[in-house]
Amino acid sequence: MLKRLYQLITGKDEVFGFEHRVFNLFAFIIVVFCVQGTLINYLLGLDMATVWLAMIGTFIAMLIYYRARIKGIFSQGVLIFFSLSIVLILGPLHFFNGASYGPTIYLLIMSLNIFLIIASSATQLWIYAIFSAAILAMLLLEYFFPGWVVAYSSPAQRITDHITTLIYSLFFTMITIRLFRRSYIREQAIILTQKKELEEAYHLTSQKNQHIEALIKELHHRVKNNLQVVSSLMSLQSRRLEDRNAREALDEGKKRVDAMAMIHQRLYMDNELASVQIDEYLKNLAASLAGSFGFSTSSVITVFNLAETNMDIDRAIPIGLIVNELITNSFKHAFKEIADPKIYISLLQTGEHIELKISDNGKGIQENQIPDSSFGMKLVKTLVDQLEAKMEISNRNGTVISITIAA
Amino acid sequence: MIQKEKTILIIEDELITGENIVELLLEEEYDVAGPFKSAAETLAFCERVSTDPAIALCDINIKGPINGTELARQLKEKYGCEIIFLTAYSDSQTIKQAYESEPVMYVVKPFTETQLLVSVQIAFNKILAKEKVYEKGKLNLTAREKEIALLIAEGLSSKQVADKLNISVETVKTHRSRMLNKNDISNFPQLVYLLHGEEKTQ
Repeated sequence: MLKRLYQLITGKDEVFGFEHRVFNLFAFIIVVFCVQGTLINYLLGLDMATVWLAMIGTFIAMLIYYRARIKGIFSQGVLIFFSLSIVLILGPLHFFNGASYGPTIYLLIMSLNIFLIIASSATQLWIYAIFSAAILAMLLLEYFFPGWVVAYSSPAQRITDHITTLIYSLFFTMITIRLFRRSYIREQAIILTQKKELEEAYHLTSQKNQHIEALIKELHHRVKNNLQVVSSLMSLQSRRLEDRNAREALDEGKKRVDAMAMIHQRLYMDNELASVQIDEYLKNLAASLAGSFGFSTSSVITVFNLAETNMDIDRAIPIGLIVNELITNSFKHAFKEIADPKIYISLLQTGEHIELKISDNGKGIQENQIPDSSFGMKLVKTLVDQLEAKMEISNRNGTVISITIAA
Repeated sequence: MIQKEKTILIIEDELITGENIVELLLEEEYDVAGPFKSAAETLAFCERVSTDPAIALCDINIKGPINGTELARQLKEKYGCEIIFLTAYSDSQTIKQAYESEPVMYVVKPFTETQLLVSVQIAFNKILAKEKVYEKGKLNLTAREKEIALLIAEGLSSKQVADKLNISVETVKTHRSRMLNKNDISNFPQLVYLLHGEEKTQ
């Protein structure tokens, strides 16, 4: 019942902010206070000036309450306006109610306290200045113009005024501070639960993350192990073959598997899931192939000039396999009776294109010399197609193969 | 001909990969035991034989409750084994753990034959350097023999040496055994070790 009355006066929590609700309540209480003052002053037969002042106060307070509660208007400007109105009405009343013998100053202090609670920090200073200046002015005027003071008719009248005003202002200050505390505690509780929820969610997410990371790690581990098994199977079989051609074919197949396996080996090492450092990869691939054909690693020279060396696996694998085929070709066929065999691999980016160039200082080949049955060349052409690239073969002190890919 | 007490243990639970390694090393005339699938199998073998294993080529993720890093630590402690890890794991955490047993080499799968042969040679070098029993006398080698020995020292298999020099594998093997006989050396790693010593003093 009380709560509903309170809500009717201040407005609902969802509609108005805390400061706005306190302001509504304050304006309402001032309206009641002014109406009561007007009636009592009139009935007691006090000076008509006090009746008029109380009536003006009623009018202003009602206007402010109407605007704040119904129209929803509450601003720092309204607070300053309200402070000035209070000071201008209570100032003259001070002298009619026994001046410093009366309780008017308490009312000013109560209003100041409530406004300080709901004002923004800049407005707080202005409100403080208005009320302090008013109180100082009232006391000084009382000193210099003692004739303005209308004394109480009896001690009983004075005490009655004190009791009502003080109880009234203490009660209202207490209500406001309680409201403020309650809203503060409620907000703290909300923040705490939110914090807890966030922490839980974070914990859950990081757990999930760890799980996913472990799964990915296992998956990569499996892929590498399986590729190793495939490669080992081919080695095991190759060793048992009597026919030299069959053995060579199997070894070539194994090298292709190894070239792909090296990408997977690097995928995890870089902690990048779907890309590989293409320069490092090609360097290692070339060195490993050189070693397996019995050439020194210094026989392969690599040059890279790329905007981004991190390359997507979908592109790195075909490039790796192409390089594997072409340098295998060079090692196998180009270097018979060549004193200082060299293979150059370059991957250069020019604007929209990446050029993969592989050349050697060997015997050189003509495109029409490549037998149609050559699986290696067929493979290279297929992979060039897959990369949507263009290939050119030429001879310049050895074979030069240039493959242009869109960057 | 080869000094039989320098055994290499192959610990690999992926048996096809393991067999491949065993064959590769046998072909290079190393003394090899395995492949073993678990720590229990490995340790049981070590108990059974009279000579301590010299090198363990060890996978990290093996069957059974004891993993590769722990097995390696035990083998090192009990038999003074030199450790070569062979694993598909290349994350920093596993590598850090593996480093506690001070391995000679950490080979990440998929490996190449050269990587494997080089790491075995490094392990032998370490063992021989520790033993210090070999006199560093002048090796008696022909130019061709020295060429072959140096290629093998680079981690080439006999087959690869044969391919490179355009000779048959059998010829390479004949050269190898002749080198050992002539110099009265019991195994090839020792010859490579002495050859390195010579290169250094030159």
